[in-house]
Amino acid sequence: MARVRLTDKPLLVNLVTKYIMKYILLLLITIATFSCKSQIKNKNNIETSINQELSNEEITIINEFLTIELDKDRYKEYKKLEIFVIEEALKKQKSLSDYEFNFKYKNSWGKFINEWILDSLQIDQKKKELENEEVYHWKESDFKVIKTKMLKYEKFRKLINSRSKEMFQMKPILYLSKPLFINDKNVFISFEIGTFQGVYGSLEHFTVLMRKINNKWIQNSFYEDGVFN
Amino acid sequence: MYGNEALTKTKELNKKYIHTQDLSNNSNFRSGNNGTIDYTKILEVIDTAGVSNYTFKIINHPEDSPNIFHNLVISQKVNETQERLLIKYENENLSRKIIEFKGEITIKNISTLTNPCDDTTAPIDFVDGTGPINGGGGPGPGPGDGNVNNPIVFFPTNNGSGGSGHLTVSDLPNFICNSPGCHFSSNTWEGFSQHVDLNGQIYPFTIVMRFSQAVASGSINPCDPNGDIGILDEEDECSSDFMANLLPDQKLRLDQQKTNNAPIFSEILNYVARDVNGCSYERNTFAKEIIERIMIDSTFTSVNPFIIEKQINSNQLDPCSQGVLQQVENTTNNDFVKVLAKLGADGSIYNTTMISEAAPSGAPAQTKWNSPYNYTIYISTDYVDKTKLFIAASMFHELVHAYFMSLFDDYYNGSPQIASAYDDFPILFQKYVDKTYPGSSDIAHHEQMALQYLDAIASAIKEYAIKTGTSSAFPNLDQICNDLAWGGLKDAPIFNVLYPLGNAERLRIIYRYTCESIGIPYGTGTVNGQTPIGQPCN
Repeated sequence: MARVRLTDKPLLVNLVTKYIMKYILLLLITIATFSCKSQIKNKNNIETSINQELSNEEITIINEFLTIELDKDRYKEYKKLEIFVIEEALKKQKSLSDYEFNFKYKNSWGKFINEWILDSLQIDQKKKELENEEVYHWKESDFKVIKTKMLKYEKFRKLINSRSKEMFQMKPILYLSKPLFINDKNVFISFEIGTFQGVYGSLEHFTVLMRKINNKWIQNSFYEDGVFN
Repeated sequence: MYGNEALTKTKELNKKYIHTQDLSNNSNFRSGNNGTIDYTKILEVIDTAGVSNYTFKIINHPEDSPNIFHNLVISQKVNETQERLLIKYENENLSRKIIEFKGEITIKNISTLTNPCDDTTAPIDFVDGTGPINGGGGPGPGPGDGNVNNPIVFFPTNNGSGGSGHLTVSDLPNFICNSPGCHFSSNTWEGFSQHVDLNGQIYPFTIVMRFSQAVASGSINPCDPNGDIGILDEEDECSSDFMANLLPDQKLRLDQQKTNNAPIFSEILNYVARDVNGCSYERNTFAKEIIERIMIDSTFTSVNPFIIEKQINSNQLDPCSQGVLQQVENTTNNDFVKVLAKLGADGSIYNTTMISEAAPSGAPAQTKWNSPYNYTIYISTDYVDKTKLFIAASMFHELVHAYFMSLFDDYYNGSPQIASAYDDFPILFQKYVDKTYPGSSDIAHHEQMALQYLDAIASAIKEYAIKTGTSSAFPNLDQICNDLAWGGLKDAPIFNVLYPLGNAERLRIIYRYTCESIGIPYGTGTVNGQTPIGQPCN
């Protein structure tokens, strides 16, 4: 009959534990690696995001933009209200499309743009980069300067067709894109904001070129999309 | 004058004088010519000296070619002898517009067969506006200094065998801007010069000058060094045929416009004139509709406002919305007809497409400037229970956007650009011209709309409501329609200024707009509760 030494069991446990620890360590390293990849710097040294996480810089830009924009007189009737954010972000392709629209008609529609930051070749290049762009889903934690609630786009469409009094709210509905980096000092953001006052209506909509000056992001140029509501 | 009137006049003149002058007589031109006179249409101008001048088109003249034509001008002074001129136009190009004339005009006084003076020939270049080339021994530059802003006076050469009368473009031309959307017209040189922008940019126009007043502003004898002779544009056969086929009351109304020097007369003739595709039955029909509108309402002074509704492409509208649009297009509201007319006329360069599709913005309707002269109006397929009245209100609102877009294209994309496009639109001028407007285009449009088109939209909505069955005595109908017009602007800053939060009327407007958008009462139980008066689509 085989005898089992008392010390054998701890040895086995130790071995198992050792293996488990090793895998956990590997797992942690893997997680850490992927976590870091959510905020990488590309070849132009631009900090940007992949997948469903915003980089710190993107969060900074979005919030500085909202601080500037929503402080305007245009929104004074809505300032104290909670803002609904359409969870599915506008695609960055929208920003590029608005820029291209103005660029194409720069002697008429785009006549008021004081700076063209991309030429036609660069526009095409950006288009290729965005060919497989996925829809980003906003999170309440992305917004540091406004109080928000997420609103699914599908729900928004249902609200439009609803006959209920739920429609009668002045709470702004915000439809926003992630920043589209041109370089580390220039990004595009597309912005649409409206409100239900019985019937949904637009308050403002544009693509803006945000520029970093003295470590602050400011609104530099506006690109209108030709839409009138 | 046309038809019987022209024939009567011809007989009168013929009885006295014309038979004495056979145009087949070789003396008419040195080269010897034959030709017949088209008696079916005559241009009559009674000048300020009281002299009646009649212009006939000469047809089948052997010298005629695509760029050469002839006119006979008879100047009939009361109880005096008749003066007759034969005028030959040799255009270097094929243009039928006098402003594009470049070539020679030759005038011969044929009043006296036994001793006609030599042909008087003047090289003329309206294209460059350089005026005539003075030949050897000519009297030198006159008041016409080559600047097309000024009256052009031509001094024919003296190097012929004596002909030295000077040829003057009269001081009473009628300029009609050719560019779509251009509201310019003038019958004075001063008016014409105002059609030049600060950079000296000149906008294309047609001078409608059937016969020059200058014919009788003194001697009409081209042999007289001090005599003046007018220039004649060839009568456009399409406009002539159009005039000939008008009903008597239509012609009477149009003649009144002419008598009043209203640009609408020449604008209509210009509208129906031959283009690259020839005469147009559709244009003629629409021009008659315009005249009918004028007969109903005499406040119109220009056809420009009539030129949107017919070219609005509505194939992509659902049947209900198409039915609404048909009524919308027939509105008779003055201001709104002006909006509609510009975008939809046959031949209009403005391409407006109205479609039933969820507006990307989420709004019940939107209008998109796609490219120069191309606009898409979305009537949303959301808001599924909206009433027809709500659709009509949306259409009126969006058509004003499209109209404002057409002004933008007139100003920036016109060929040439129309500097006066924003003259009557101060907010849009600030936004698009002097760039002092602080808000976006959308906001500027809505502010301009509120200031200038709110009443028109409200009135058009009311007309629609009555046409579709609402009694004109319906309680508060004016208020309801006015509120619907304002409802389309409820998110504009101007609305918040005029109807701020807490304002007694604000909720009434919003409730009215909302109840028509959902087809059931809204705000029921409150003082501002509203019940839709519009009919559902389904």
